[in-house]
Amino acid sequence: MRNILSLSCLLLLCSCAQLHHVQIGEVASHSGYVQKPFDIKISESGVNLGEAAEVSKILLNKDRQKDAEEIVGLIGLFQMGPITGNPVYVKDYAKNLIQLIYEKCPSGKVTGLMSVRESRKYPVVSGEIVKVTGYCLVRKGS
Amino acid sequence: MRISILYPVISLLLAGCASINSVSLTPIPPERKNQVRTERGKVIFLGFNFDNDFVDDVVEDLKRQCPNGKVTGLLTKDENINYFLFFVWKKQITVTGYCVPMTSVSSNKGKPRGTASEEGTQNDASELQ
Repeated sequence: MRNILSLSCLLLLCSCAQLHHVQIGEVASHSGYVQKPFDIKISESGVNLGEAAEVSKILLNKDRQKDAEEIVGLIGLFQMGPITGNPVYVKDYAKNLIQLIYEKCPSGKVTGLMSVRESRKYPVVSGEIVKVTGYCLVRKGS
Repeated sequence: MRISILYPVISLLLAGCASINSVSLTPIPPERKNQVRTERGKVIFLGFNFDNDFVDDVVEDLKRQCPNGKVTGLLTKDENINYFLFFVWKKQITVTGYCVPMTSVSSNKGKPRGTASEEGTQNDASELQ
């Protein structure tokens, strides 16, 4: 019994990573420059309403279960169209990405930019992540 | 009889169904002699995947293939290949591009403005001179 419980806890706590999209920009090697790697990670919490409804079925009484299902259905009507990962409720969480790249690389000379869109999935919630890695070109000797 | 049924069944189970997630392309250079290519993949069993680190060294590999130039015209293909009744699948990233020597990029500087890709190459090169 204890084994089953610890295995369930382990499965609930560990996150499954899901890769949605990878994009790679131009890669340049310049002899007069040193390439300094940088990475930026932005994330926001997503909610899987289907799983939330399933959990509510266990926790709530029959009337409340019905209400929860109706609410999930209603919200679902407003969340149509192609998506990656679960819906988040802060729509512009990745808005400052360019600003963050400038902070990491003030010269603005960036190469080998790779942007990765991925999710970390937990029960009901998820981490919706945008990861950007690249190289900042810094002039040798500066 | 049994074997003749078994073979097609096994081959159907082992054959992969491929689906594409996304494709992206960067400006294509006028000089396309030296092609570079890299591929990374990860086999995932029953959806248990705890990281996507397999994509991290793609850029490093491209840099190795083109040490003194610029890799451009990059086509990044992100695909899923499903095997064995969708219990096992493979995430695969394939990147192909062209290695343009830096001297060639610099020599394009004086040429008249052409396609968007040429323009981008010239701007990048002149910016770094």
